[in-house]
Amino acid sequence: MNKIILQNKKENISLSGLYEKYSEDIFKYSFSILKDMEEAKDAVQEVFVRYAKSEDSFRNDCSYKSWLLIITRNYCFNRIKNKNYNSEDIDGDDFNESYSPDYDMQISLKEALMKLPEEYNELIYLKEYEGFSYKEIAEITKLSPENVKIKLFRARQELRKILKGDN
Amino acid sequence: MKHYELEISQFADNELPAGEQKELFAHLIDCEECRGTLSDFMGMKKEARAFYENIDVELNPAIALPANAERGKEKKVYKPLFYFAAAASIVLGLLFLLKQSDINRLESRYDSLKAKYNEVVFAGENLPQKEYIHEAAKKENSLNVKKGMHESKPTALKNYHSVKQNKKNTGKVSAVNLAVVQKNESQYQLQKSRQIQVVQVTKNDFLTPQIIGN
Repeated sequence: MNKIILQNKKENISLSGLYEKYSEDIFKYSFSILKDMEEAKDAVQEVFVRYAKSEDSFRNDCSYKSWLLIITRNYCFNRIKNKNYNSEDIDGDDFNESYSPDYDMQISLKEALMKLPEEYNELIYLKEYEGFSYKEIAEITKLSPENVKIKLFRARQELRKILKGDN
Repeated sequence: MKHYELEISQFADNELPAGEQKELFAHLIDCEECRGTLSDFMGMKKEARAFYENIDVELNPAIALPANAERGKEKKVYKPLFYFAAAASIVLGLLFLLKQSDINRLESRYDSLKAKYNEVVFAGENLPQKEYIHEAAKKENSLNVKKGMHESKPTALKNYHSVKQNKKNTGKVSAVNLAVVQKNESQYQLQKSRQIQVVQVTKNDFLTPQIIGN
């Protein structure tokens, strides 16, 4: 598997520096999976604690961000698995309305995203927000690039159904 | 009619190979449904990106990280110092061993020089045996008697006593005195060899042939 985003730039960043640089991305990625603001905030803290503890096993062939995203993914899916996380408990008031110039439209998109399975939501985030290629997403999610392509297509089909009220 | 939804998804992600793009474009011209799919997918991409970009969250500052996380980082910082200290200890240990070897070598050298010094200063410790001196004196007396010098004290014995007295007073024997004693020994040996010759050549030795001749 080609390592495109996982190239290590040999940065020497302190933990505080990493937190400042990547905490927001970690939060949003966690949110795309956990679908809960407070859970995602907790995930950010937990991810950096886990990173600090596992720093010795940090892979030199990848970037800090990739490593953090992998830790985030493992944490979030374990969180869902261990606590039988129920996405129906999501409270819509957790969202800050300032993001939306078109409130109705964004709410419907939010609702659609909340109804998407975590693995689809995660792929949508990695593709649309992070702008990663299929190969880069494959390295983080441990899927094949072909599988990423198909799952992203299915995620869009599902999202479109929800948005159109076909679900 | 075959639809190209998967290819449209790939195209929206900018992952569709150029060769397949031509085929897709040709299809899109004739397929309104696929044009609608492309429009929906592009719209969802844009909205999803906007959604995540506009999430406004106030995260705790880095200082709120648990102490053990920062401790882990500090441990990493000090790890090189441990290796440096270990390397320095090894180097110092080697230097100490080398220094110790130098000290041993110098001590050995000192002992050797000291032995040589003692050999020079106390060379007179190896004096001739007393019995040997007395024998030499006896022989000398014998010669003196032959020469008519009955009361003369043997020179070798005189020198020997002189050296011995000197050693008793000063605690050591000078090389000069020792040389005198050794010289006396040499003279004695020479005299002894002459005496032997004298003894060997006697009057009888000259008479015997005449007797035989007689």
